[in-house]
Amino acid sequence: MSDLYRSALQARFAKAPQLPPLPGEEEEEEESEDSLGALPSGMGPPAAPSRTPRAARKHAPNPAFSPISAQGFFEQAMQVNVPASDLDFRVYYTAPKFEDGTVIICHHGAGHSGLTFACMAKEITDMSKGECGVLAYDCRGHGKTKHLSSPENPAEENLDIEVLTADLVNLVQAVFPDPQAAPSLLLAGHSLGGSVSVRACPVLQQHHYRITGVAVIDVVEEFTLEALPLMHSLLNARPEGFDSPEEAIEWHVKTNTIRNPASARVSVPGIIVPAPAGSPPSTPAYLWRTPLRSTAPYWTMRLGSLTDPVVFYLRGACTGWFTGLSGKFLSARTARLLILAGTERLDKELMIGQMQGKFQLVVIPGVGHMVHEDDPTHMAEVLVEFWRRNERVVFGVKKVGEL
Amino acid sequence: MDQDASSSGGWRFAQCFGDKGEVEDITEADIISTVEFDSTGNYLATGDKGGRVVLFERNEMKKGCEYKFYTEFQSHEPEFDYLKSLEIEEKINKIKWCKRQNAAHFLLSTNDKTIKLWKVYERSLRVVAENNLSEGQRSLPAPLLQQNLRLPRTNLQDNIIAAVPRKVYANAHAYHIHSISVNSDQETFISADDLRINLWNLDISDRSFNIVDIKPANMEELTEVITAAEFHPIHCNLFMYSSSKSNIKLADMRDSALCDRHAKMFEEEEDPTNRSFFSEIISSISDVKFSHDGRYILSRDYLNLKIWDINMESKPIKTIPIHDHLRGKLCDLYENDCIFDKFECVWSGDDKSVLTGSYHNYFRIFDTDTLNDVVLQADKSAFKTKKIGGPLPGNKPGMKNGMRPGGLRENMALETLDFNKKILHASWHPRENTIAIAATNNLFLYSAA
Repeated sequence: MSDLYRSALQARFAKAPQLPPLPGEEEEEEESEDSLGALPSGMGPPAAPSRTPRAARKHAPNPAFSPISAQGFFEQAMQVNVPASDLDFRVYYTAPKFEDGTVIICHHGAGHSGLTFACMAKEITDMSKGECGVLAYDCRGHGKTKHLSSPENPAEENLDIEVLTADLVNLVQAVFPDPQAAPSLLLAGHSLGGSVSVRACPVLQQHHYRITGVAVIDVVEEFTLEALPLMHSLLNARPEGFDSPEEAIEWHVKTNTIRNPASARVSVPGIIVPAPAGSPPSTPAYLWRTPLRSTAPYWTMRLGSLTDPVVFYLRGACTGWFTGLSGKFLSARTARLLILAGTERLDKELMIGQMQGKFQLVVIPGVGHMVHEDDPTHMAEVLVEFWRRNERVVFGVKKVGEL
Repeated sequence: MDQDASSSGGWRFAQCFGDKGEVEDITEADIISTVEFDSTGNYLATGDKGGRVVLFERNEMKKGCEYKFYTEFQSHEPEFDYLKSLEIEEKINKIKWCKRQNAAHFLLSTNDKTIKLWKVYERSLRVVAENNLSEGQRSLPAPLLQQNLRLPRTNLQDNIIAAVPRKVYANAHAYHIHSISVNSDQETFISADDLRINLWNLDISDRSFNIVDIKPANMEELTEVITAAEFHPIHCNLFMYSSSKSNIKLADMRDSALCDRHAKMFEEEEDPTNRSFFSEIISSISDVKFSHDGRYILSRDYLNLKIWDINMESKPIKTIPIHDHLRGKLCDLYENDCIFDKFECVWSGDDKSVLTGSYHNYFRIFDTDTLNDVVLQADKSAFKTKKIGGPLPGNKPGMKNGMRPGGLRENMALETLDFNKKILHASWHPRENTIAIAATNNLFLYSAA
């Protein structure tokens, strides 16, 4: 097919929200209203789940993939009540040795949990000899974070990017109530977490917190937005659930989702929950903590199941998870670091920004999308070096990124 | 092999041209990009990615179907557009023959930007045998008397086949030309790119008329491109063009100078239950052809062949699925870009059969009435089987004597299809059941009794 046609297609996929819906697409949105569930239609190919039959898969749990507790990786795990977000956050924290150290606040990606940073946190603590603390938390609808008001785990979570950003800000204010006394913060986010961190940075700075830098891990706006239509088929390929944590860990390692088995053994238990009592017998024993399909409305502005024009307009006012990420990243008034896996490319905005020296780019080869899990050592090296170079030395000297 | 014939509908492998080596180390320039028989079927033209045109001639001495190499010439060279900093590929996109009017052959060949009219003819080379001052090698004394003056005599040395570009139709298209079609009046032809169609006179190379223009005022709003165009074989005023939006428009040039308003539009209502993310991409028509009698239209989109009656616009009279097993793999095919492959479709000379290609070098021939089909594979296996008589790959050993009817059809749906081997280009002899199939860098000829 001609390049012209292909580029026109891609432009349309990227720009879909602004164009008026074509008559055929309007039709299909109405049809989805009739069906159960709020899955946006038209964004993925018809579901063709590739699951092997239940009976064929039952076998004894593999001890090589037994879960490991996060005890050896973080200093403490605590529940932090944040009424402002109506959430009881699960926070994994290693405090810095000295009062005026730095804490790296890590936000995980969609469908993961704070434990994803466990291996990396341990490496950071070792490398910085405890000077650098790490705070990783489970965000809304993930891991062991629960709602304060009942129900504890509502089926429908509001995962709008603005809400997630507010959650991060509220949590920081809860953990470090006094901005002056608080340690310097380094915001690190993986994938969706990167977008949240970039948006939270100016808000926290408004509240007078010291932000040493912001690190975005393996997410480039343009390519993520391009890949979003294909998410549905990717999600189809995921099994509905697992019979044991070992099986879940094994699946992640076998499908190369997480290439580091040691890290998988710590982080995967955080993303599965036992099936609730009273589920039909055909459901597996352990299900996904976060059903990613239902988060689809938040990926981009393209919404499938809402026909109320008022609501549509309001929703249009808030943005998708990754919209504007590149621009916001480049305009963050702090040191900026972008870590990419070996195969990633830069989009136009970032490429221009990189040529202008606006951020530091580190490419880590030999890793998949879970950069911090696949190679926690290299990752820790990069973050510790970034921290060292940008930590506040003398009061009054302008920091990198301050204009 | 009688067994071969019965399972493959009477089609026998006849010849293969090209480097029959492994697919890993083929030179890109050898990949055949177009195949076309002339109107008599005695000559076959192929164009490749390196800008060369190779002509084959029917060997009349042999009883069966056999073609031999006739001539080869470099039609187009790679160019560079300095204004846009773009390379213009020399790949030959289409070749179309003009009807024979004298001893010379005329054909049009086009790359992305330029169309050339080539004259291919036999020229006898003569050398001077004797003149006044020499005869052969020895020199003669200069003649002194008037009656001793002689005219130089020449001897026939060799007959060569020369190809000369007679006309170059350049600078008329801003986008890549994908189709050309010579009119039945043999005076005009159209060239189509993604957004425009131009009408040329074969004798005038510095001017053309624009007859279809679908470029939107704002390129950001581009939603549709033209994918193929062809003149009607009998009526010199009719032509059709297909679009990526799965419609075919028939236009009449007598209507107005700019044929933006179609006379007929052939579009099938899409089944809303079958809609998916890829519906639009796979419904894009990759090729359209008029039948030889001009009463039917054959169109090919990614998964189907459709035969339309020119009098009925609402739906095709036949829809033939080609490789439905790919419907579940559309996501992967989108990833590796194969979903954008442009397969060609061909009518047989008598309009009783249609042919189109698929992946893993498979191609299918359908009977238009009964929709019986034959699946063939343009592979090394084709000529190996002929000589050794071994089982076709994929058949169980020991089934040599009992070939399953429709032999390769099951194999086509195997999981292990090689998507790099695809049959995109083919041509059918206008008078007999001989087909030429382009398989990457090889040209296969099949013949049916």
